Amino acid sequence: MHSLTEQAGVRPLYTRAGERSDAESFDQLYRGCRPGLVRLAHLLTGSPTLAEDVVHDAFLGLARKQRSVDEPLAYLRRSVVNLSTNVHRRAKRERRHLASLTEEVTHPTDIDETFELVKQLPPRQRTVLVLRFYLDLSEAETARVMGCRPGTVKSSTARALAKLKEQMS
Amino acid sequence: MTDDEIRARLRASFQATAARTTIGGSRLEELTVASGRRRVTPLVATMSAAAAVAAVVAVATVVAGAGTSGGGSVTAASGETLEPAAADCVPENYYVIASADQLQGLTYLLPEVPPGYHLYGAWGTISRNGCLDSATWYVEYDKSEYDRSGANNDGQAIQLSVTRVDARSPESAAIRGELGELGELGEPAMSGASTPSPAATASGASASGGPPSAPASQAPPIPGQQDVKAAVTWQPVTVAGHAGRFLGTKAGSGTLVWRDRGLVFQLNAPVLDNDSQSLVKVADSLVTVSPSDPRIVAPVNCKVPAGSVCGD
Repeated sequence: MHSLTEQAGVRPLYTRAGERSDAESFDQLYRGCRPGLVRLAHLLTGSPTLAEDVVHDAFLGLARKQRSVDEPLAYLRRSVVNLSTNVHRRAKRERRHLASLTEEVTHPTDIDETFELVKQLPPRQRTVLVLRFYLDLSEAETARVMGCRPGTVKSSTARALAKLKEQMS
Repeated sequence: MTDDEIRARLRASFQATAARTTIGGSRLEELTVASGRRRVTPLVATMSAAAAVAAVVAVATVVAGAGTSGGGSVTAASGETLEPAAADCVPENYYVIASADQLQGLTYLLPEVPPGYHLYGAWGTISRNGCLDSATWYVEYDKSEYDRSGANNDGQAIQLSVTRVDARSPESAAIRGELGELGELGEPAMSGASTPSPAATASGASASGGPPSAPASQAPPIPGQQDVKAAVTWQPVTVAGHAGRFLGTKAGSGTLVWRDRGLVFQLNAPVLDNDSQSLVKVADSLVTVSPSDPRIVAPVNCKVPAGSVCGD
């Protein structure tokens, strides 16, 4: 499993607000978890630029609610997932315009065909795949993060895999 | 290909993509803090990268509501502190369907659905940043041969957006900066016209617009996509008597941006040989309809009541 902190080489800093001084905990949480969250957001949004932004906003939300958040890591991960979905909704048309502007500077070596196909999936299906096969979350864990039922995770995963299979064949 | 093989490819792809993700510099200083202190944050810090990209692309991609950060106070480029409009407002950003009242004056359509196209949707949204609202009206006509989901239309669709922002909003400030560039093309400059937009400043881009006599001006660079500036050029154009700009791409689509009475218009459509005038003709033909006009229909995946979030 790729926890958000292990890639940064740190252990989770706190599980409940107030174990350390808020400021110290927050700063360490930010430094330790941000890289992993940005990678996750990159996979969810398909854009490293948006990913930075999404993670920044997730931390902003945590900063506002820090005292009432029992599990900051879980909160941040849920925020990143939700914000990434919103980015999809809001940026659909912006991306169209940007795509037309940036199409000529896409470097072939950067293109991962599988990821390109994943990026074409609806946000929910893409999110399910990333949570299941990047973070290796179980269906139940994925459902908790996404705020849906495990059955929805199962069906979304099946639909996403079927779509990819069709496109890869 | 089996499901197991697909899963294996997915894992490998995700790992590779994650591994090559560039992690930018810390923005910890920008965050309003850990212990509940409230800090007035400069606009350049609160504007999201998405907003910056949208704004810098300029003149082209004037999109209200792109910002995803918000809440609390923001400071405009002038240094003026902007407090939330109402104490009981929701300080989070959201993106909801606009009501008819909120769309007054924005509801532009083409006079008729162009041959070979169908109306994908015509709807308005409200975005909120720091408790200040902006409204954007969208119209999209898609090629008839494509499905009606809005997919597969990139470069082929005719898309119009009309944006009106709250006069006090940071987006308004950003757009004022951009419109200043348009002002240089012949219209009286708006307040702040001579200064780069905050978004452009935030991204490190310069907001030079080019003199009216210039046949084409370089588009501002897109953060992270610096090479693009060599691939695109802006042409000054006039739309219904208003200064605007045209951007054509090799893919055969064009973008036209202009302003009129405080509204910012953006029109995208296929064009042949970078023929800006063909797009100007389309722009000149726009008509307004009542917000209750039956032609105003939300896209199939966005049929929610005013005030609701448009889902997917």
